Amino acid sequence: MKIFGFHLMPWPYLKPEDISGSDSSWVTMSNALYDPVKGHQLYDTYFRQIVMYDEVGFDGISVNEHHQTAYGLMPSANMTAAMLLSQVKGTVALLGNALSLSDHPLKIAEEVAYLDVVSGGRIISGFVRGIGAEYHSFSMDPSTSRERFYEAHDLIVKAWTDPGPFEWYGKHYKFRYVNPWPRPYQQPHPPIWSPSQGSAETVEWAARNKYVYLQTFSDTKSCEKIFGELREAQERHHGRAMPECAGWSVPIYVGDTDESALREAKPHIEHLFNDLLRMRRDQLFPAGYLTVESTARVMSSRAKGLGIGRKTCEDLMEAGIIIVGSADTVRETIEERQRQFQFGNFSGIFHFGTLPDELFQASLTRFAESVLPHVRKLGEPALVAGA
Amino acid sequence: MTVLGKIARDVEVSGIRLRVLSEGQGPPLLFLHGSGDLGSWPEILTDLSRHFTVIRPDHPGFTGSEDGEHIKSVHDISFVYLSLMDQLGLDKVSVMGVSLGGWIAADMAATEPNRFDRIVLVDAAGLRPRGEYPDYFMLTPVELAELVYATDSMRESMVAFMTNLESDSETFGTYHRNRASTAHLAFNPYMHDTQLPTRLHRVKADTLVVWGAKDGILPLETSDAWLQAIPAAKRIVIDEAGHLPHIEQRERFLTAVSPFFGI
Repeated sequence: MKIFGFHLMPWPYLKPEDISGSDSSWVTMSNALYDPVKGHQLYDTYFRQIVMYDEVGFDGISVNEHHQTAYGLMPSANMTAAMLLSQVKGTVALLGNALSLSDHPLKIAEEVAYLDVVSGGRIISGFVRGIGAEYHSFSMDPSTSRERFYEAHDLIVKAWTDPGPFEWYGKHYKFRYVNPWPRPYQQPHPPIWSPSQGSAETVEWAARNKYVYLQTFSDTKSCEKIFGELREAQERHHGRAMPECAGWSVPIYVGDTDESALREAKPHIEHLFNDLLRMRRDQLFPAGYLTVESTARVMSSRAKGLGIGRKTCEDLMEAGIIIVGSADTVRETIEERQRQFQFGNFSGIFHFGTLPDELFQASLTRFAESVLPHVRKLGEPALVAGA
Repeated sequence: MTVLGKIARDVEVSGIRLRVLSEGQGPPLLFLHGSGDLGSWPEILTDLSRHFTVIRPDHPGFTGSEDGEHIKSVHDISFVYLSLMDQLGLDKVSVMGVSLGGWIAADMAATEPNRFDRIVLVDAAGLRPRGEYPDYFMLTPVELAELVYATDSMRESMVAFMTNLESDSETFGTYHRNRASTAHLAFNPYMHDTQLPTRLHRVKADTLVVWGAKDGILPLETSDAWLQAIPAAKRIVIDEAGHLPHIEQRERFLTAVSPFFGI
């Protein structure tokens, strides 16, 4: 399978009083807490860490976008990719462009094509709706988020594949001339990935289109169910399960031993899940972002929801939301999950929360030496999807 | 229309099926509800139905009415309701709008000024809020309940109702859908239309701005914006009332609006 390294680029300098002084690390946590001088050094560290994924032999790096939050300091997947493109040999996965947060899908079509041409076809184009809180951050109507996502996607794919100029008069987007220069290097277009936390509609959509469905931040039980639904949908649409179109993304820490791994990872992973992912419920699910049915389902199980309620590192390990352990434990866990979930793409999040650089490097080195050679052989190789 | 009791009917307007409740006799009074309204018939409407034929539609996208694919703004809803008036044979009405409903009422009156006799705007949205105000779209049902009413007993009963909201799937579904429809109309700009002040000079009807003195959703200062936009309007502030003074202080509210309505 293909192995990717993902990074969230969090702000690691929040003090306990900063956290207790705000009810969320999104939307309203004051950016007075941000220090650009520290930020400069931090980007330097984070960029080196991402390049290290490539150096140790991963198939690709993954970047994304988040807005107005201490959780993630990449405001643009495309800009981040542009800065990293010449520093890495492998694939650069944009995971993803938040279509419904953008008011201009043609700009995304152009920028991704631009990156694809410059890189000679090393781009994966992920499309997401954006986190609920980001609808507050950008004052975007959450009630039309899903409609705009699908329409923007349809427009971008058509812009990449149909000769222009043509007109587009959709419900949400109107263009007299659709005619982007450049067109993508990969034909008919870069592989499309769909990172999600398991909405039934997204699973079906990704399966139907042969896109890579990437499950993020989820427990083992949910993953088993969702990957089962994905395989079922792939079989229904294409006559076979498609592991090359399934991906799993998970935070990982590899220590010398299980005990030292837990000790080293614990405060940093708990900071990610308890402090950085923390948000008000109506930030996570703004009005109309989810259907009535999904909202009722989510509300009834909200105690389990990420971002709401505190979790320990041990809780998260037990639920399967993270992998923390020695190289043997991590390898065995990935092998087992691969058998259970049958994914052909694996995206590890080796940096989380406040994890210091030296721990990141040690963990990634252990992974590269003792885990990567084994897990790479698992499953079928990922094919280029999206054709 | 029957004379006694409240009747409910479905009226198809601009391709949208609207649920319309009505009660009473006399000249027509259109009541336009707020965003948090779950389809109720507040007692004040029964009071007013002694003098008016009170007509209460559910807005497109709310409670008993269909969504309406083409509805993108309050201004779009104005046209639906002007067409509803046509369909019901109502050349001219008085209108009372609460919160979101006040916004719709004002927009309608600016669009077709000659079709309105008297206008009552109750803690109306539509103009940029003033003072310190919460973000309606960030509030949980219970947090909302804590801010809507100013008096302890009303607040407590509302909090109790909202605490149990999620256990009643039908009511929660209505709450969720109404809130999503409100977001569609009022997420950006927040609860107002920047063009509305440029149109309100067209309003001809006598206008009364009523506000709860302790409105925790749209602070009392916001009523200044309405008086600036409609200089001929009068204002009445209801003491011991929050965002819904017609419910929280029904008798004071009725006493306040009766002379204006000439009843």
